Amino acid sequence: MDVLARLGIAAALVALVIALAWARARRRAGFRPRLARVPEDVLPAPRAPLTALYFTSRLCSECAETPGIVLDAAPEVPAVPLSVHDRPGLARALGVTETPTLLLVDAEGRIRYAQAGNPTPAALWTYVREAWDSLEEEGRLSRDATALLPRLK
Amino acid sequence: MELEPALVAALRLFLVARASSFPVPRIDPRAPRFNQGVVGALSLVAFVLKVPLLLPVLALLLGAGAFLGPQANPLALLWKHAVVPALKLGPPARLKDAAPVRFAQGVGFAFLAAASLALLVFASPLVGWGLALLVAALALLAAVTDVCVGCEVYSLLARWTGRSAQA
Repeated sequence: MDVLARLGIAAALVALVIALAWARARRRAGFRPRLARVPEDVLPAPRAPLTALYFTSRLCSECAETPGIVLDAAPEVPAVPLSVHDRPGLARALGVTETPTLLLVDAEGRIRYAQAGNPTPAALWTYVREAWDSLEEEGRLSRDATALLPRLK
Repeated sequence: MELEPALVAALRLFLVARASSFPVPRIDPRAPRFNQGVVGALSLVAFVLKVPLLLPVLALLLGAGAFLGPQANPLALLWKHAVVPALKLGPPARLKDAAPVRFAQGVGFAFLAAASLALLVFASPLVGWGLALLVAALALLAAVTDVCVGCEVYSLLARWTGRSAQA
Protein backbone atom coordinates (compact mmCIF):
# COMPACT_ATOMS: atom_id res chain seq x y z
CA MET A 1 0.00 0.00 0.00
CA ASP A 2 1.52 3.32 -1.03
CA VAL A 3 1.67 6.51 0.99
CA LEU A 4 -1.29 8.08 -0.84
CA ALA A 5 -3.56 5.14 -0.06
CA ARG A 6 -2.48 5.26 3.60
CA LEU A 7 -3.07 9.00 3.65
CA GLY A 8 -6.56 8.40 2.24
CA ILE A 9 -7.38 5.86 4.96
CA ALA A 10 -6.08 8.21 7.65
CA ALA A 11 -8.09 11.12 6.21
CA ALA A 12 -11.24 8.97 6.09
CA LEU A 13 -10.72 8.01 9.72
CA VAL A 14 -10.26 11.64 10.78
CA ALA A 15 -13.36 12.63 8.78
CA LEU A 16 -15.36 9.89 10.51
CA VAL A 17 -14.27 11.13 13.94
CA ILE A 18 -15.14 14.73 13.03
CA ALA A 19 -18.55 13.65 11.71
CA LEU A 20 -19.30 11.73 14.91
CA ALA A 21 -18.21 14.69 17.04
CA TRP A 22 -20.33 17.08 14.98
CA ALA A 23 -23.40 14.81 15.16
CA ARG A 24 -23.03 14.47 18.92
CA ALA A 25 -22.61 18.22 19.48
CA ARG A 26 -25.63 18.92 17.26
CA ARG A 27 -27.77 16.35 19.08
CA ARG A 28 -26.78 17.78 22.45
CA ALA A 29 -27.34 21.39 21.43
CA GLY A 30 -30.70 20.55 19.87
CA PHE A 31 -32.14 18.77 22.89
CA ARG A 32 -35.45 20.21 24.05
CA PRO A 33 -37.67 18.18 26.38
CA ARG A 34 -40.95 17.20 24.71
CA LEU A 35 -42.88 17.57 27.95
CA ALA A 36 -43.26 20.75 29.99
CA ARG A 37 -43.20 18.88 33.28
CA VAL A 38 -42.21 15.57 34.85
CA PRO A 39 -44.56 13.42 36.96
CA GLU A 40 -44.45 14.59 40.55
CA ASP A 41 -43.72 11.06 41.80
CA VAL A 42 -40.15 11.31 40.55
CA LEU A 43 -39.45 14.18 42.94
CA PRO A 44 -38.19 13.20 46.39
CA ALA A 45 -40.08 14.31 49.49
CA PRO A 46 -39.90 16.87 50.96
CA ARG A 47 -40.10 18.80 47.70
CA ALA A 48 -37.27 21.26 47.15
CA PRO A 49 -37.99 24.51 45.28
CA LEU A 50 -35.59 23.26 42.60
CA THR A 51 -34.39 19.69 41.96
CA ALA A 52 -31.74 18.52 39.52
CA LEU A 53 -33.05 15.32 37.92
CA TYR A 54 -30.55 13.54 35.74
CA PHE A 55 -31.08 10.54 33.51
CA THR A 56 -28.45 7.84 33.81
CA SER A 57 -27.83 4.52 32.08
CA ARG A 58 -25.65 1.47 32.55
CA LEU A 59 -23.09 2.62 30.01
CA CYS A 60 -22.42 6.17 31.18
CA SER A 61 -19.18 7.01 32.91
CA GLU A 62 -20.02 10.72 32.53
CA CYS A 63 -23.12 10.27 34.75
CA ALA A 64 -20.92 9.68 37.80
CA GLU A 65 -19.74 13.30 37.45
CA THR A 66 -23.23 14.83 37.49
CA PRO A 67 -24.00 14.83 41.25
CA GLY A 68 -20.57 16.34 41.92
CA ILE A 69 -21.23 19.12 39.39
CA VAL A 70 -24.60 19.88 41.03
CA LEU A 71 -22.93 19.84 44.45
CA ASP A 72 -20.21 22.21 43.26
CA ALA A 73 -22.66 24.56 41.53
CA ALA A 74 -25.58 24.65 43.97
CA PRO A 75 -25.29 22.39 47.01
CA GLU A 76 -28.79 23.46 48.07
CA VAL A 77 -30.33 21.78 45.00
CA PRO A 78 -30.80 18.01 45.46
CA ALA A 79 -29.46 15.85 42.62
CA VAL A 80 -31.74 12.91 41.87
CA PRO A 81 -30.71 10.16 39.43
CA LEU A 82 -33.32 8.55 37.17
CA SER A 83 -32.28 5.44 35.29
CA VAL A 84 -33.54 5.24 31.72
CA HIS A 85 -33.81 1.49 32.31
CA ASP A 86 -36.19 2.06 35.25
CA ARG A 87 -38.22 4.84 33.59
CA PRO A 88 -38.07 4.05 29.86
CA GLY A 89 -41.52 5.54 29.22
CA LEU A 90 -40.65 8.86 30.82
CA ALA A 91 -37.29 9.05 29.03
CA ARG A 92 -39.02 8.37 25.70
CA ALA A 93 -41.80 10.87 26.39
CA LEU A 94 -39.25 13.57 27.20
CA GLY A 95 -37.16 12.76 24.14
CA VAL A 96 -34.07 11.79 26.12
CA THR A 97 -31.63 10.17 23.70
CA GLU A 98 -28.45 10.20 25.72
CA THR A 99 -27.15 10.15 29.27
CA PRO A 100 -26.57 12.12 31.33
CA THR A 101 -29.47 14.44 30.57
CA LEU A 102 -30.06 17.01 33.27
CA LEU A 103 -33.41 18.61 34.07
CA LEU A 104 -33.84 21.41 36.57
CA VAL A 105 -37.42 21.14 37.80
CA ASP A 106 -39.45 23.12 40.31
CA ALA A 107 -41.51 21.72 43.19
CA GLU A 108 -44.49 21.12 40.89
CA GLY A 109 -42.42 19.21 38.36
CA ARG A 110 -42.18 22.00 35.75
CA ILE A 111 -38.98 21.79 33.73
CA ARG A 112 -37.09 25.06 34.12
CA TYR A 113 -33.94 24.07 32.29
CA ALA A 114 -32.74 21.01 30.37
CA GLN A 115 -29.40 19.93 28.97
CA ALA A 116 -28.12 16.79 27.30
CA GLY A 117 -24.65 16.12 28.71
CA ASN A 118 -23.07 17.62 31.78
CA PRO A 119 -22.98 21.41 32.17
CA THR A 120 -20.01 23.08 33.82
CA PRO A 121 -20.61 24.05 37.48
CA ALA A 122 -20.49 27.73 36.49
CA ALA A 123 -23.10 27.26 33.74
CA LEU A 124 -25.34 25.23 36.05
CA TRP A 125 -25.12 27.92 38.72
CA THR A 126 -26.30 30.48 36.13
CA TYR A 127 -29.27 28.25 35.19
CA VAL A 128 -30.17 27.72 38.87
CA ARG A 129 -30.01 31.45 39.41
CA GLU A 130 -32.24 32.15 36.37
CA ALA A 131 -34.73 29.46 37.40
CA TRP A 132 -34.81 30.88 40.91
CA ASP A 133 -35.42 34.41 39.60
CA SER A 134 -38.32 33.24 37.43
CA LEU A 135 -39.83 31.32 40.37
CA GLU A 136 -39.59 34.49 42.43
CA GLU A 137 -41.21 36.58 39.69
CA GLU A 138 -44.04 34.07 39.40
CA GLY A 139 -44.54 34.21 43.17
CA ARG A 140 -43.98 30.47 43.53
CA LEU A 141 -41.49 30.71 46.37
CA SER A 142 -42.65 30.45 49.96
CA ARG A 143 -40.75 32.16 52.76
CA ASP A 144 -39.55 28.69 53.84
CA ALA A 145 -38.19 28.04 50.36
CA THR A 146 -36.24 31.28 50.40
CA ALA A 147 -34.76 30.30 53.75
CA LEU A 148 -33.64 26.99 52.22
CA LEU A 149 -31.55 28.74 49.62
CA PRO A 150 -30.04 31.76 51.35
CA ARG A 151 -27.41 32.20 48.63
CA LEU A 152 -30.17 32.73 46.08
CA LYS A 153 -32.05 35.48 47.90
CA MET B 1 -16.67 -23.77 38.40
CA GLU B 2 -19.05 -21.88 36.14
CA LEU B 3 -17.47 -19.44 33.75
CA GLU B 4 -19.44 -16.30 34.62
CA PRO B 5 -18.89 -16.31 38.44
CA ALA B 6 -15.22 -17.10 37.83
CA LEU B 7 -14.93 -14.22 35.40
CA VAL B 8 -16.70 -11.87 37.81
CA ALA B 9 -14.40 -12.98 40.66
CA ALA B 10 -11.32 -12.43 38.49
CA LEU B 11 -12.48 -8.98 37.41
CA ARG B 12 -13.36 -8.00 40.98
CA LEU B 13 -9.91 -9.14 42.13
CA PHE B 14 -8.32 -7.16 39.30
CA LEU B 15 -10.22 -3.97 40.13
CA VAL B 16 -9.68 -4.24 43.90
CA ALA B 17 -5.97 -5.04 43.45
CA ARG B 18 -5.55 -2.07 41.18
CA ALA B 19 -7.39 0.23 43.57
CA SER B 20 -5.52 -0.94 46.65
CA SER B 21 -1.99 -1.19 45.30
CA PHE B 22 -1.98 2.07 43.36
CA PRO B 23 -3.72 5.06 44.88
CA VAL B 24 -5.58 6.85 42.10
CA PRO B 25 -6.07 10.55 42.72
CA ARG B 26 -8.34 12.94 40.89
CA ILE B 27 -6.75 14.50 37.84
CA ASP B 28 -7.11 17.42 35.45
CA PRO B 29 -9.57 16.01 32.84
CA ARG B 30 -7.84 17.98 30.06
CA ALA B 31 -4.60 15.99 30.50
CA PRO B 32 -6.02 12.63 29.28
CA ARG B 33 -7.66 14.38 26.33
CA PHE B 34 -4.33 15.91 25.39
CA ASN B 35 -2.77 12.47 25.78
CA GLN B 36 -5.48 10.91 23.59
CA GLY B 37 -5.02 13.55 20.93
CA VAL B 38 -1.26 13.04 20.77
CA VAL B 39 -1.51 9.23 20.81
CA GLY B 40 -4.22 9.27 18.13
CA ALA B 41 -2.36 11.69 15.89
CA LEU B 42 0.99 9.90 16.23
CA SER B 43 -0.62 6.50 15.59
CA LEU B 44 -1.95 7.92 12.32
CA VAL B 45 1.46 9.41 11.47
CA ALA B 46 3.05 6.00 12.13
CA PHE B 47 0.51 4.39 9.78
CA VAL B 48 0.82 6.95 6.98
CA LEU B 49 4.63 7.12 7.05
CA LYS B 50 4.96 3.38 7.79
CA VAL B 51 6.97 3.85 10.97
CA PRO B 52 6.02 0.84 13.13
CA LEU B 53 8.72 1.70 15.69
CA LEU B 54 6.55 4.62 16.84
CA LEU B 55 3.91 2.20 18.15
CA PRO B 56 5.97 0.63 20.98
CA VAL B 57 6.98 4.15 22.04
CA LEU B 58 3.31 5.13 22.28
CA ALA B 59 2.57 1.84 24.07
CA LEU B 60 5.24 2.71 26.65
CA LEU B 61 3.68 6.13 27.24
CA LEU B 62 0.28 4.54 27.84
CA GLY B 63 1.90 1.77 29.89
CA ALA B 64 3.38 4.39 32.21
CA GLY B 65 -0.12 5.81 32.67
CA ALA B 66 -1.62 2.38 33.25
CA PHE B 67 0.98 1.05 35.69
CA LEU B 68 2.06 4.23 37.52
CA GLY B 69 -1.15 6.24 37.20
CA PRO B 70 -2.33 8.67 34.50
CA GLN B 71 -0.57 11.56 36.25
CA ALA B 72 2.77 9.75 35.63
CA ASN B 73 2.17 9.44 31.89
CA PRO B 74 4.92 11.55 30.24
CA LEU B 75 2.29 13.25 28.07
CA ALA B 76 0.33 14.24 31.20
CA LEU B 77 3.55 15.67 32.64
CA LEU B 78 4.10 17.54 29.37
CA TRP B 79 0.57 18.90 29.62
CA LYS B 80 1.02 19.98 33.24
CA HIS B 81 4.51 21.44 33.03
CA ALA B 82 4.70 22.75 29.46
CA VAL B 83 1.31 23.16 27.76
CA VAL B 84 -0.65 24.65 30.67
CA PRO B 85 2.02 27.29 31.49
CA ALA B 86 2.72 28.01 27.80
CA LEU B 87 -0.95 28.61 26.99
CA LYS B 88 -1.54 30.31 30.37
CA LEU B 89 -4.47 28.00 31.08
CA GLY B 90 -6.23 28.23 34.42
CA PRO B 91 -7.12 25.30 36.64
CA PRO B 92 -9.84 22.93 35.37
CA ALA B 93 -13.47 23.53 36.37
CA ARG B 94 -13.56 20.11 38.05
CA LEU B 95 -11.15 17.26 38.64
CA LYS B 96 -11.83 13.74 37.39
CA ASP B 97 -11.39 10.33 39.00
CA ALA B 98 -8.22 8.81 37.57
CA ALA B 99 -9.32 5.15 37.78
CA PRO B 100 -11.31 4.94 34.49
CA VAL B 101 -8.59 6.87 32.67
CA ARG B 102 -6.00 4.49 34.02
CA PHE B 103 -8.00 1.50 32.85
CA ALA B 104 -8.45 3.08 29.40
CA GLN B 105 -4.71 3.72 29.15
CA GLY B 106 -4.15 0.08 30.11
CA VAL B 107 -6.39 -1.01 27.24
CA GLY B 108 -4.57 1.35 24.88
CA PHE B 109 -1.24 -0.04 26.08
CA ALA B 110 -2.41 -3.62 25.45
CA PHE B 111 -3.67 -2.81 21.93
CA LEU B 112 -0.55 -0.88 20.93
CA ALA B 113 1.73 -3.54 22.43
CA ALA B 114 -0.16 -6.18 20.43
CA ALA B 115 0.10 -3.99 17.30
CA SER B 116 3.84 -3.62 17.85
CA LEU B 117 4.30 -7.38 18.25
CA ALA B 118 2.21 -8.07 15.16
CA LEU B 119 4.26 -5.64 13.06
CA LEU B 120 7.77 -6.10 14.45
CA VAL B 121 7.81 -9.76 15.50
CA PHE B 122 5.12 -11.62 13.56
CA ALA B 123 5.27 -9.53 10.37
CA SER B 124 1.50 -9.25 10.22
CA PRO B 125 0.75 -5.77 8.89
CA LEU B 126 -3.00 -6.30 8.59
CA VAL B 127 -3.40 -7.10 12.29
CA GLY B 128 -0.76 -4.61 13.42
CA TRP B 129 -2.01 -1.60 11.48
CA GLY B 130 -5.62 -2.60 12.10
CA LEU B 131 -5.07 -2.43 15.86
CA ALA B 132 -3.11 0.82 15.53
CA LEU B 133 -5.90 2.41 13.49
CA LEU B 134 -8.48 1.25 16.04
CA VAL B 135 -6.47 2.93 18.82
CA ALA B 136 -6.07 6.05 16.66
CA ALA B 137 -9.81 6.27 15.98
CA LEU B 138 -10.84 5.76 19.62
CA ALA B 139 -8.14 8.11 20.93
CA LEU B 140 -9.09 10.87 18.48
CA LEU B 141 -12.78 10.38 19.26
CA ALA B 142 -12.02 10.73 22.97
CA ALA B 143 -9.84 13.79 22.38
CA VAL B 144 -12.49 15.54 20.27
CA THR B 145 -15.72 14.51 22.03
CA ASP B 146 -14.60 13.32 25.50
CA VAL B 147 -16.29 9.98 24.73
CA CYS B 148 -13.75 7.58 26.26
CA VAL B 149 -14.68 4.05 25.25
CA GLY B 150 -12.16 2.52 27.68
CA CYS B 151 -13.69 4.57 30.53
CA GLU B 152 -17.17 3.33 29.57
CA VAL B 153 -15.89 -0.26 29.62
CA TYR B 154 -14.37 0.39 33.05
CA SER B 155 -17.68 1.81 34.26
CA LEU B 156 -19.54 -1.24 32.92
CA LEU B 157 -17.05 -3.72 34.44
CA ALA B 158 -17.09 -1.92 37.78
CA ARG B 159 -20.88 -2.02 37.82
CA TRP B 160 -20.89 -5.65 36.74
CA THR B 161 -18.41 -6.69 39.42
CA GLY B 162 -20.23 -4.68 42.09
CA ARG B 163 -17.63 -2.02 42.67
CA SER B 164 -18.92 1.51 42.59
CA ALA B 165 -17.38 3.45 39.73
CA GLN B 166 -16.75 7.13 39.55
CA ALA B 167 -15.64 8.43 36.20
